[in-house]
Amino acid sequence: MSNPSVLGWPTFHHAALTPRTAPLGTVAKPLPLIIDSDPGLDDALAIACAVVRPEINLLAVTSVGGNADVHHCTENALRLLHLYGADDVPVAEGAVGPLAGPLERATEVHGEGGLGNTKLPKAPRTAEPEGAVALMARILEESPEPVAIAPVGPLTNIALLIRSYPHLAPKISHICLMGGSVGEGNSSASAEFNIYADPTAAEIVFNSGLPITMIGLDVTHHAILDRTILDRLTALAGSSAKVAAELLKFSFDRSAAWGQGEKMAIHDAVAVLHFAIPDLIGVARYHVVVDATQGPARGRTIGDANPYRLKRDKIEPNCDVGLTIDSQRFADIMVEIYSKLP
Amino acid sequence: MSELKPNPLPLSTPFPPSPRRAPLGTVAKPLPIIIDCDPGHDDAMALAVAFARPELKVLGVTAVAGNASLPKTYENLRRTLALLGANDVRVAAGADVPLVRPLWVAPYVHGDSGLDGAELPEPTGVEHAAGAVDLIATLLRESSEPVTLVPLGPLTNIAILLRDHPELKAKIAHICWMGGAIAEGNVTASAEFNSYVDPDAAAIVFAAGIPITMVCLDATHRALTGEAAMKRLDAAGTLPAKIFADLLRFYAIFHKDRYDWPASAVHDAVAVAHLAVPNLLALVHAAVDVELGDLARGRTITDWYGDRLKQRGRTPDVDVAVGVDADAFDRVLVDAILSFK
Repeated sequence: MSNPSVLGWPTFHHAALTPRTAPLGTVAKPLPLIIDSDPGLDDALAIACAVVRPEINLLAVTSVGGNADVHHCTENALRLLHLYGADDVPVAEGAVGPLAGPLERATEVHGEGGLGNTKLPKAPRTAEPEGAVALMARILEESPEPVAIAPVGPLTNIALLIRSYPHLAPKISHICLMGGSVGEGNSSASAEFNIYADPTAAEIVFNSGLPITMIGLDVTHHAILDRTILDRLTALAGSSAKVAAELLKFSFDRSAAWGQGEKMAIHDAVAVLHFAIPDLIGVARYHVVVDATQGPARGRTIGDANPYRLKRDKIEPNCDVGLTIDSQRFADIMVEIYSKLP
Repeated sequence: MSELKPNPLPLSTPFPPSPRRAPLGTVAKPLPIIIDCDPGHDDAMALAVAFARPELKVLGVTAVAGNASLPKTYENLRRTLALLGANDVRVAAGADVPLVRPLWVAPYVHGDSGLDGAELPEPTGVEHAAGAVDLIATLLRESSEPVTLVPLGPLTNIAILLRDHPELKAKIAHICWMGGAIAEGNVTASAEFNSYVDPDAAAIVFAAGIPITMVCLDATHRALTGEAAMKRLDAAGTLPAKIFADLLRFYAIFHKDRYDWPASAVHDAVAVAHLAVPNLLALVHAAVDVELGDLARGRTITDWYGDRLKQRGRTPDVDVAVGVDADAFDRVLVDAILSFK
């Protein structure tokens, strides 16, 4: 007799992978990109990806309260860019907390300051005084071509941007966000942290009609680095790689202490890399709505790809959802990125 | 849609193998059960399993609105009993609408009658005029031992029972419910039909402190009944086998249309079989919350992640079915049907 089959998180109905709708930067024509983030251990790696990859032209990094307090996040963004030799990328501080609902933090994951126990050298500059939303608006306004945004924290700033500058919507080429989950959440069984931290903002973004790719836990939980990467990073010459190793070691140690094995999902970097690498992530078209109610599904990104139901409910898919990742390549990509940083 | 392939979706929180907490009937000591259902093709097949298995003793069967309106489910129930020769079983009709929300029925699955695809014999059973909740309460009171409730539809009747007769909770050994979904629902992406139709009732039942097994889509969608079963039924030559084969053929249309599956999920029969057959289901002990908001209405939010449960002060008190021995279930189902002449 065969045993009852146990396949973990079970019966999603086989959404077929579809061609990506996100634009792809090339070396010849790098994609102009704004990162909105809450650094954050994995954010540090995401920013490194954007700085290094020649397919991306990083226009700004804006901060948002999320993994840690927003002032820490801003300072971390400045210091990380300094470490990466990218002091020319403007930084501005954004929302301290969500549009509605309680303040959620993930300092138990990222440490009180957001970067574990790592202390980075001070940056020679401070954040732009205009603030995150105005900076994003100005960049969009001034850019001759539409600009992509990679929000890798709570979507507060992006929702404010959409609401405050609706006329700039055509200047946003794509939003590739790290957040959400069609399957299981992490903050709750329903919800992933970035969405859970500001469901109202997420609802605004997903309902905006802007082109969206959702890089959620469905894919980032397979973007795993383990301890074997530490030696590869410390063998590199630059201090950035040493810092990355230190950040990752903090994660591995904490993860091991929690009995979850010595590995870490590098959520945020995936969203940035999707703009630079054509075949790292497989996506499918979904209709996604965000549950911003107070019930047990709060913060859930309710995703539906079932053709029968979409037709019945007269709804069209509104975003790409990341479903597959070439996990093997992912570690190599990260090492290569740090090999090119100071 | 032939390009659809098994999807890699994620193995999030791994779960420890969890032993069953539902009672198990044996031939020596059959398990007393009361079935509350809304036939419904899979309900009819669940009844076949219930009356075929010597490990189960059916004390009564009640109807609730769900797959079709109450008059239809009640009639279908009594016709199915006639087909199974269960003429002396006590039956009653229960709630004709959910506790709070308007009724949502599923003619797109079960046809207009709720049991399209075959002609069943004239209704039978010993009718209890005072209704389903009163019948269940009476049977619980009369029973010398605690009884297992097997709701196979929306939980309206069971919620009313718990509200009206809290003193009878101690007489309920277990509730083995077909309903809910951990991952994807079927009515909506969020919710399975039975929890979607009456989420308020489901919330009441899950909060009642009675041991529950949730036989959800995550298990039932893995036990698909198709060609192999049809062959055995078609070869049998008995009237029940012919009728159930015709019912299965009708039921298959929906599964083909919606999922492009060549076979059907006979959901309700899985819940009944769990009480008679050991090692049929893989289970995880989890905490379950029912979503009552409009967007994710009826979602059964299932959490077995230890740290999160600890933080929330929740105990994993529900057995949730996450896997099934599909071959064994196929045999149980067809053997049950073939046992009726």
